Amino acid sequence: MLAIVGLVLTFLSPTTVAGLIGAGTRFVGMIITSLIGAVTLIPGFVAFPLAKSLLERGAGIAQIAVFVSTLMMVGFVTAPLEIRYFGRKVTLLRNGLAYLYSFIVAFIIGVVVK
Amino acid sequence: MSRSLHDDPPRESSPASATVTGDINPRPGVEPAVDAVDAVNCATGGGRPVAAHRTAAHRTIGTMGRSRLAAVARVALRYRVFLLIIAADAVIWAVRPSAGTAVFERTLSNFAEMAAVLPPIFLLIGLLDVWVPRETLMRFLGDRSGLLGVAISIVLGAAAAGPLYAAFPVAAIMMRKGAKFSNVIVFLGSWSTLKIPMALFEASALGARFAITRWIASVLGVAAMAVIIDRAVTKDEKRAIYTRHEV
Repeated sequence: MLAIVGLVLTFLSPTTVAGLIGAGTRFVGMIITSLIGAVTLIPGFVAFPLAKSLLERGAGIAQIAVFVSTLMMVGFVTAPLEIRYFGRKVTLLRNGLAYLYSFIVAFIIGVVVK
Repeated sequence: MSRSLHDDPPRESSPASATVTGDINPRPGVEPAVDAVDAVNCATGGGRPVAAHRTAAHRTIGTMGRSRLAAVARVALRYRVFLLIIAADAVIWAVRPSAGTAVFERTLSNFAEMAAVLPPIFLLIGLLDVWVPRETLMRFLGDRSGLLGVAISIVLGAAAAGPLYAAFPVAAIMMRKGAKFSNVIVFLGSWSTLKIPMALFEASALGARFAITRWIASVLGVAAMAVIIDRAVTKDEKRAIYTRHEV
């Protein structure tokens, strides 16, 4: 996994990162990072260094915040398991609300952390 | 995890541990018919003198072959998503060996993580089950636990270190012991995003300001989400979820 992170970071130039998920991309960049965060299952000890290096390469703080938040709260891969424990409705509600709330968290972080 | 997609909920009244291990190992109770037939076939087909019961033996061997095939087919069907993904991975590996190797390494590391995380969780659940009486848990997390119950749920979740899927069986045992539904949802939310060990790591990588802001904003969100989910889910639906986790 760390190798993949290394690979991705080697291929993504700062201009590419800034163009895709920079602060200037605003909502579009946040949609991108939130979807990545929701779908992937990356342990924190890999995700945080990755987030840090993306930040250093020109990613926006709100875009990274929504990535971290959705990564931790939204579990697309584990949804079938969650459904077996709590049913479809609770799973959809919890993940859906968590996804939406991640944007609120990101906006707050975008304001507080500069 | 592929099973769950076509699984019927009413059958999920098994205890929490069985529900999870069902993903990894085939549950012994699921295919009693096939297992029984196999056992009988092995006993009769293998033990009988062939000369005396030639036709009978032939018939048994025939059905044994078929039932074996059927058993294999059933297992394949149950893990069809997994097998399809492995097949896709193999194609990737054939086309782009370096990417394919990375995919398999990642898969292996995920399996290793799951294998490392789940045993201590089940140990914890076992201890919780044996050592914490239902009355005690209900007092602190039950229907009349109030704000203290919410606080305890947050602390329980935040003290954890592990992926979210490890929280599901813990939540199941909480429900079995009479924890309030909204507290269980708070616990899940807390476990998912308020983990203190993770927050420390987050602070070291992204800065204390980032981590603290996210933590505080998330506490409010976890509580708000629990309120919304608690109101959206009817009493009957809650009861149905709880009965899933009864012994």
